[in-house]
Amino acid sequence: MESTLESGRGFGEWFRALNIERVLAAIHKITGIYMVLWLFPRPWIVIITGHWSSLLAFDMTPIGKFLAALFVLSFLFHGLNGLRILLIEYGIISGWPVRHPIKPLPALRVSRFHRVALLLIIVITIIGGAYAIYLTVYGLTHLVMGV
Amino acid sequence: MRESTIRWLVHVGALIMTIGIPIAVAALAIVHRMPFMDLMRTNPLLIIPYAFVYVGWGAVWAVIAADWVWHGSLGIRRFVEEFVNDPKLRRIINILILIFIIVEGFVMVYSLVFVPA
Repeated sequence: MESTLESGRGFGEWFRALNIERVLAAIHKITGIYMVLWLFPRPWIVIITGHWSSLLAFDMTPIGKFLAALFVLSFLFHGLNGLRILLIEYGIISGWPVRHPIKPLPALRVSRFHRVALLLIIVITIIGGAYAIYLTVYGLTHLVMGV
Repeated sequence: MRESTIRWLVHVGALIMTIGIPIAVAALAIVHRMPFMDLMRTNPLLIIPYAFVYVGWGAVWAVIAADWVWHGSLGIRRFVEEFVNDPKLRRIINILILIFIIVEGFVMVYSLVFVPA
């Protein structure tokens, strides 16, 4: 029999008793961890080397572009899903939780607004993510300023 | 600090990024007359951080850099505490995260604002 969800049990809990909200929550955490791992060492590398050029040169390599593209995709999803979480926490997206009659699954919001938000997150992440990855790999790498 | 205050700080950090960055990039394009099509063809990792440095908006950039650090660090705190049930250990983690926010925040702001791009 499935046990109820518990705190303090690590990331194994992220992938148990899944529904759409919990899948999004797990991806939210994974993308957050990836962004921290990608972003936080960068200033230290800059401080140690004394300049940005070596880091930027790495970003232009295929591996660097791949990691950066993953970062951009993570940023897009994490930002959109984070806004959804904010809207829920501040009561702007309200709904009524539905619980499975037998299994101890967590509540799933069913309001129409929430369904639209979920759909938007998925669609924008796929379309926007594809475009952002394209820009990260093939986009202009110099700034064009009118001044 | 109360958990609700920490949660509020996470929310503020999130809003600064998700709303502030697009506004700042749009302002950059308008102020410096960057053509919209060029904006849409430029690598986002170039446009977001280095554009701020390029136009010298150090103060704005410093806020966003510090914001990344506190939002990310509080995210790490939440992640780490999923492995911990002991309240004493959680208190130690809180102190370590606070030290990390200060050190990483200083290094992040310094590298982005004062190290030439």
